[in-house]
Order: sequence, then C-alpha cells, then structure tokens
Amino acid sequence: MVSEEEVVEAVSFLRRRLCAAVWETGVGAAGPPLLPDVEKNCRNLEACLIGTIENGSNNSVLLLGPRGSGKTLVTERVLAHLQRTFPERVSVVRLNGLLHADDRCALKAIAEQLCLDHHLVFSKTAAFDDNLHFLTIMLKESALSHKSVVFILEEFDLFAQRPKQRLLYNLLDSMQSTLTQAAVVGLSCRLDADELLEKRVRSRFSNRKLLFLPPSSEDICQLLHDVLMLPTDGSLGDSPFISMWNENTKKVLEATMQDIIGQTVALDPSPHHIFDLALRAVCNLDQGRGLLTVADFKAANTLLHSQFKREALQNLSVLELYLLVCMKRLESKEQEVCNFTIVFEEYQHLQETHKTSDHYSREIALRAFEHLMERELIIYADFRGRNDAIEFRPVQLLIDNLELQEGLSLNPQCPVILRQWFEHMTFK
Amino acid sequence: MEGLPEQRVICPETRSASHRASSASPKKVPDGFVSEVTPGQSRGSPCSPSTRRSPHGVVQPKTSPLPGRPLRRALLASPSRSGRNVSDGGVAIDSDAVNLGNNGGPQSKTSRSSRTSTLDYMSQIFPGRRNEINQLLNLLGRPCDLIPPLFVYGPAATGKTSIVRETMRVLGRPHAYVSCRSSHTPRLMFESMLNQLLGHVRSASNNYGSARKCERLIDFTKHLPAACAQALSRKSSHDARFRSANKNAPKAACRTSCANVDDTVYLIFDNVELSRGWTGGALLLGALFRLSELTRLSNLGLIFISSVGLDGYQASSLSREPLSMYFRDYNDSELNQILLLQRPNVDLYASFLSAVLKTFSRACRRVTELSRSLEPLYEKYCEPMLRGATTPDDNGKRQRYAMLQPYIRPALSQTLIINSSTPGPKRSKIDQSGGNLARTKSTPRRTLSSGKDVQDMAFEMPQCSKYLLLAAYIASRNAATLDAALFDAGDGARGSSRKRRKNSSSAMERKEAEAHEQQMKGPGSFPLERLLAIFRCIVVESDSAPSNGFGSFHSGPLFNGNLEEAEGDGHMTEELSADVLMQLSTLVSVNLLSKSSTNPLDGNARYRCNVDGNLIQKVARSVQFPLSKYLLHG
Repeated sequence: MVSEEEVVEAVSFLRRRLCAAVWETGVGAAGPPLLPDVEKNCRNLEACLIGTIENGSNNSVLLLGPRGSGKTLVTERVLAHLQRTFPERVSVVRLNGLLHADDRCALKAIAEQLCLDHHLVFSKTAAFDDNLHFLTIMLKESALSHKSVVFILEEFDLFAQRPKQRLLYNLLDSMQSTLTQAAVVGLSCRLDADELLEKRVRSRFSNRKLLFLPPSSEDICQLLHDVLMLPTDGSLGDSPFISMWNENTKKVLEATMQDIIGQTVALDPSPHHIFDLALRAVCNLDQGRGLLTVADFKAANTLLHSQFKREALQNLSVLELYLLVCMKRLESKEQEVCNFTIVFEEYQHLQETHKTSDHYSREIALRAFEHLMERELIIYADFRGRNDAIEFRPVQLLIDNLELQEGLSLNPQCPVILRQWFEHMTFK
Repeated sequence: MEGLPEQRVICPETRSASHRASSASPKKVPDGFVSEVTPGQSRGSPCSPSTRRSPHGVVQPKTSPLPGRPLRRALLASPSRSGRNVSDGGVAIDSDAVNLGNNGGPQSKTSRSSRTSTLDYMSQIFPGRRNEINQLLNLLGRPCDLIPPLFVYGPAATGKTSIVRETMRVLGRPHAYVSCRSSHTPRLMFESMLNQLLGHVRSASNNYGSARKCERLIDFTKHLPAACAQALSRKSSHDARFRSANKNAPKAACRTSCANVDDTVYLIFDNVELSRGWTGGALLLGALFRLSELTRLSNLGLIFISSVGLDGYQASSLSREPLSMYFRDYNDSELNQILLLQRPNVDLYASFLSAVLKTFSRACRRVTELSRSLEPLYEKYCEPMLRGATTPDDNGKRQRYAMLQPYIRPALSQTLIINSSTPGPKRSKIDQSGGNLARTKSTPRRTLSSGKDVQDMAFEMPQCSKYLLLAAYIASRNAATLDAALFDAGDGARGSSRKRRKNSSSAMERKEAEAHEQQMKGPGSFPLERLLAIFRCIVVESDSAPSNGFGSFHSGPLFNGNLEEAEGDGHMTEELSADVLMQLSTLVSVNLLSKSSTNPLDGNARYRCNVDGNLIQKVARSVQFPLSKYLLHG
C-alpha cells in the first residue's frame, strides 16, 4: 500500500519541476534536464560570455527559437554558472521587450539595475540624457575594474520594432569601444529577428546566432521520461515508493508512447508542450492509487488539445444552429454582404417551406444572433458604422463547412431537418 | 472583522443537509443558510427572496420578478454582476480587502477525504459543474504547489467566475480578483490588484486613493513582489488569529494552513476578452500571461477568465499558450436542476419546468435569461392555485399544460428581449415600452422598436420631430433618384408608370429583387439637404391635404381653426434653420437617427434612420400621415 504522504510529496515535486520557473531552479536538481541540442547551445553561449569576461572581447549573440524551446532556461543556467565561477566579475542587466521596449524606460531600468549591482543610489528623476551618460561612464568604470556587464534582451524583436532602434544602437555602439567590456544577448522567437535591424545597428552586431531547433521525437520522449522519473539520489527519501513509481511510469509511458505522446509531439515538438501534457497527467493523478495510469494521460490529452469552435458548436441551442446554417447557405450562394435581416429572411424561408416547430419571432432570433456574436462564431465584417443598428451591420461567419457539419452531428438537440437542409445546401 | 472568520465557516455536512431539506419539501429555506452562503453580500441592494405563503400552503412568488438573492448568488450570477465586487472600482465591499478566505472549512486538511468533501460541497452549490470543479481542484493542488497560467473560458453564465472565486474562498487561498469590465484601463486594473494584495481599502480617510500609483505594467511588476509577500504575511497572521479564536482546530489543519513564504498567491483576471479592445491590449495580455516570468516570482498563480476561447486571441505570438479549461453550457437536465435550486415549492416548479423548459431551451440556453423570462409564465401557471387547487397530479399537470400552451410562445418573444426593465404581469404598457426605450439607450446598436402589443407610441415627441423622423425614414428607405418622382408636382408618378410599361417583366423582376436586396442591407444614408427637402415637402403636402384627417389632431386646444393650423405649420417650415436643426440634433443624440461623423462642423456628414417599421408606423399614425404612399417598397 502506498502512503498518501509520499504520493503528495512526489506530485508536488513533479509539479515544481514541470512548471518550475527557470531562473530559480536552473541550478538545482529539480530543474528539467537539457536536450542534447540545447546543451550544445548552452556550451556555445557560455564560451562566448567567458570570452567577454576573460579576454574582454565584446560579443553580441542572438538566441533564436520558437516559444518554449529553452532559450531563457539556457541563458539563466549560463548566467548562474558564470556568477558562480567568476564571482564579482559579472553584472547582469535584464531587459524585456514587453516591459522596456520604450527607450526611456529601458535606460532607466538599466541605470536602476546597475545602481543596485554596484550599491549606488538610483535617482528616479534622472532624465534620459543623464541615464545615457551614466551608462557610458559605468561601462568604462566596469571595464577598468575588469568587470563585465551582460545585457540580456528578452523579446529582442520588440526592441527592434521601435523607431530608430535607439537603445539597440547605443548598446551595440558602446560594444565597439575597447574601453568597455560588455556583451549583449538577445532572445527572440522570431527567426528573422536580425533582419529587423537597421543597417547601422546590424553593422555593429556581431552576427552570432544560436538556433534552437525543434528536437527530434526520440529526444522529446527521452526528455519526458527523464522528467517524470523521481530522483533516486535520496533527495526525496529512500522509500520503496520511488522505485515503484519509476517502474510504473516507465510502463505507462511505453503504453502511451505511440498514440498520445506521438500526437502531442506531432502538434508541437517544443519541450514545454510535452511538459504541459505531463503536468496535466500528474494533476489528474488519483492520489488514492498513487501511480500514473494510461487513463490519466488520455484525459490530459483531451484537455490539452481542446477545440474551441467545436466545443462551442456542440452546445448551441437549436435556434442558434438554424441561424448558423442559414448564414452558411447564404455564403454558399455567394452573397457578398450578410446581415441579420438577410439571415432572418433565409430562416423564415426555411420555416415556411418546412413548417418546423422551431419558428421563432424576430426578437428571439436577434437575441440568439447576439449570443452567437458573443461567442465569436460570427463577427462584424467591418468597424464602420458603430452606431448603426445591429440588424443591418454586415457580419462574417468564422466557422467553415467541416466544423459546422461536425457540430451539427455532435449536437444532441440538432433536428434532422436542419441536417438535411445543411447537406443539400446548394439545392432548393 | 473579528466575528468574520466564524461566520465564514462552512461545514459541508450541514450545508448539504439543509440543502436536501430545502429541496425535498416546500419549506422555506432557513435564514442562516442564506447568510452562510453570502457573507460578503450584506451590503448589496436589499433584495430578499420574496416569497409569501398563500392560505393553502402553497408558496407563490410575489410580483417582484428578480430571482431571490441566494439563487442569483449561488447559481448563476457571477459576482461581478451582482454588485459584490465594487471593490475593483475602488471601495472594497468584502470586509477583508484582500480575499484571504476562510480556513475552517473542509480544506484545512490536505488529505484526500477533505479534497473530496470540498468537491462535494462545491458541486452541491454548482450543479452540473462537478467535472470542471474537479479539474480546477486538481490543477490548484496544495497551497504551495506551483501552477502555470490557467485560462478559464466558456460562454456567459456558466459559472466561470463564481466557481473560481468560490473555490479560492473555500480553499482559503490568498488571491486578488480584478475584472477588465469594471477596471477598464490597465492602471485601474493594476492598482485594484495591488490594493487587494496590500489590504488597502479606499475610503474617505485616504481620499479614495490607491495604495500604489501604477501607471504602466513596469510599475506593476516592480510593486508586485512586495505586495505578494505582504498578502502572504497577512494571510498567516489571519490564520494565527483564527487559530487562537478557534482552539479546537485539528493539529493537521494548523500545520498546513499556516502560510509560508512560498505559498502561491493567485491573481484572477476576469473578462480578459475586453482587454483586446484597449490600446496595446494584445501586448498587455501577452505580458500578463508571462507575469511570473517578468516579475521573477515563481509563486504567482495566474488565472484568466474569458468568454472567448484562446483562438480569439493572438496571444500565442507573445507567450506560450496557457493551460486552458473549458466550461461548457448546461444541458437540459442541468438547467432544470439549477432553476429548481432555492425554489420554495420544488414539486410545483418542477412540473412547470417539465412543461415549458423544452420549448425555451431550444431558443435560449443561457440560465440568467431563462430564469428571468420564465418568471411571468410561472405566475400564470400558479394562477389556478390561487383559486384553491393544490399541487397537480398527473392529470392536472396535463390540464395545466394545455392551459399554459397558448402563453408560451408570446412569453418567449416578449420576455427574452427585455433585459433592462423588470418583466411582470402588473407592468403597464407605458412601463413596458419605457423599458424598451431604456434598453435601446443602453445598447444603442439595435433599431428602436416598441412592444408589439402597444398600439400607440410609448413616448411623446414634438410634432416637428415626428415629421423629421418620417422624412428621415423616407429618405433612408427610398433611393435618392426616386425623390423627384415622389415629390415633384404632379407628373412624377405618371412618368414612372410610363417607364414601367416599357420594361419587360423579367427586367422588372430583376429590378424588384435588386431593390429588395438593397432593402435588406439596411437603411441608406442621406445628406442633411435631402432630409430637409423631404421634410419641407411632406410638411407642406400634409398641410395642403386636410382630407387626410389632419383635422383630428388640429382639434386639440392649440389649433382651433384652419387658418391657425396653416400658420403653425408655415411657421415650422420657415424657421427651419433654428428649431428644426435643434430637433434634429436631439434625434441624433437619442440615437433615433445616427450621424456618420461626430464633428458638428462637418457639412458632409450623412445621416441614417435607426427606427424600425413598427415604430415609424405608429409615428405616422399619430400625425395621420399616409406613410405607405411615400415608400416604394411598403
């Protein structure tokens, strides 16, 4: 029998590992292991930054790769490692395009972080020029004391999208001087981030790029396996439960490898996606049983890959379905403009020819139409005429034939006549 | 404040017991039950579950059609709409500014049994939501468990907000809640969140100021770590106080409920779909999804509530997709269950629902709208009771159904459309259409129409406005090329008929179809000059045609003779520039007409008539104007 306490501990540990914030646990054993490709990038980056620290070569690097491919993880690990090996010789300035895309903000943040690092008093009221001046002086002073400054620019593309790219220019320009000792590391999920740079900025950029390519599915499966294993080095105690858990997880993973995991990897091969799956599965774990099952993974899979449109269609009321089918019919008739009045006329036409029991008045239909609008199954075709009546504003359908067909067959309430009417759309 | 924790204690056993009692017999719900569920609600508008007993032991609702507060609170109304969290706007309504929640309930022990009891308790208040609650509890885990950003979505009135907040409260997790609807700018959102975390209550003493000034996201990320730490420390001191007040608390509860610094603090953002309309909203949302990365706080639990699925956002370009959780619509049996909750006479209401719910749910499945629109019908259903009948047996049910049948359709169309006025049988005609007008003002996008059964216009307006409205209607329904034929002296009509003879019938049909299509696309727009020209024409024409029954309205006290009448109308036409333009701007401002540009000096602005056919017929009738003569297509 499994003790509940242990299960809770194990689940907690795995959750912590799976959604661990990278900067915190990057050093510890709890952090997720690295993929081989990522490992290589990690070494390259480290070598590059060590070059700055030891030889004073001012480097600039771009880490490019899709979301969740481990760019931040690598950066934080390297930085943590550097700070341990070269204590007091690295100061790190972190900027994020989401926060500091504005030049003034960014310079302020730089000054603030440098002040904090060097135990200086930061003045909030300092102007842009003051901060810029401060930055150049600080860079020189740091170089004199053999201290390197590493600038981390997350969401690099957002910095590059600012007019004139002043911040990037200033940073990269100061790299050119022999009096400074600094490095710029840019992280972006846009693979063309360096193309965004202006000519004067690009010529100052050293054109080093580290690509984070999607890993192979074998690597991903191995990663999933490693992540879900509990450590046997005694950090979680030495109970037989750990080996039991590991045995069981191995079996479950083998059983689910083909369909579920294969499907997940095929959709999005980034490590984070597979972590999401694992996290959901771990959350689904029945704590009484205490071990992962294939069913947990199955449930996690359906939850992870929810299809928004289909779910919405499954739950529509009959009248709303009628309206959607009407719109679809109008679309297939190649009517260029579509609004509520036209849809309602089509609906009435159907009701008159078939005499169904679902004949509702215009007001109710309009309300249903508004519900569809709230679900964003239809939207306004243009933003003109905000004051105009809703009945006459042109709208657009946001679902395609296949989705609607699936929705009609899945909706338990859908009347037979409506299905027929939809299938023979081009007739009548 | 001192007595609060005890009041908040919710024991699932007594809860469910009283619930069962209330559903099994038509007994009135004990008062304590209500106050237990809604501790933070004492300060709302006074609205009691209005029931009174008839001499025959049948409880029938009073005319107040608002569902009782317990129903609204517990089932459908999300708190943001029931006035509970005015706190986002400023004044905190919850007596605890930060929602520390209680910790005397079933959540204190982390053992499995307590988890199941929480689940049971929650699914008791929220019928049909067991799956979702289970999922949520699974994802939340223990207080110290990390959680990735969570994206809760589903259609309106499916209990998203209520369940998330109630879960937080029952589990006693430190959290802050903000809705993009009431905090409609990023600044309000950030400041409200910090206020809640810091326990700052805006009041007269601090001049209704926020604890921290937070203009942009960067400020928010700076203040957030300290605020979270403070929320946690307040939480633990709150726990300590609670423990000393309640010495009998089990040891295990003390151990786990004691908040440590690593516990997760939850930030709940509601109605995030609205933030897409803000300037830079997409960027902001992307940043919020990654807030724990930006602030370097790992113990942030971010929960986003939205009525639109993730595919409605372009967030994936800015951040990883958060974990999504779907709240589906209720199915028929769940709707039935929900509507039955908190009903005084369950059997009666159940038989009523079995008669009408099928019809209603085919048109509308939103529980808020259903519960409101069923109310007047239920009163009709209860009418025989007043005459001495008891709860019907099977045969009686059938009879009752037959009796109700003719009312169902009209009720459906009547009540589903009114959402600002309060439906009820005692409502007079004027009341009803007044409600309609109010609705139109609040949602100016619909055409104005008055209730169907109302023969007269529901509101009065000046004679001049009526003619202006008629002129605008004609101008927006007819093509501009038709004006000459309609209003030119005499032979315009003859010319068109001659033309008609020339055309072949197929061409005519095609033309008709085209015109019809044009009609369907909505009212046309017209320049000011055309409106004024038509206005002048129709005023003069109706003036020169007393045979149209013009005399009837001239028999009023103001108009006693033909001469005066002519003078009055002549006066109207001559003073066009001042009075008429005044009326015109009034019509625009009440949205009967809409204007293409808001610039008052724009001479090229085009107007459009927002009045539908029903209303304009009434207007025409009130001034005895032969409208159909001037409209090409009816």
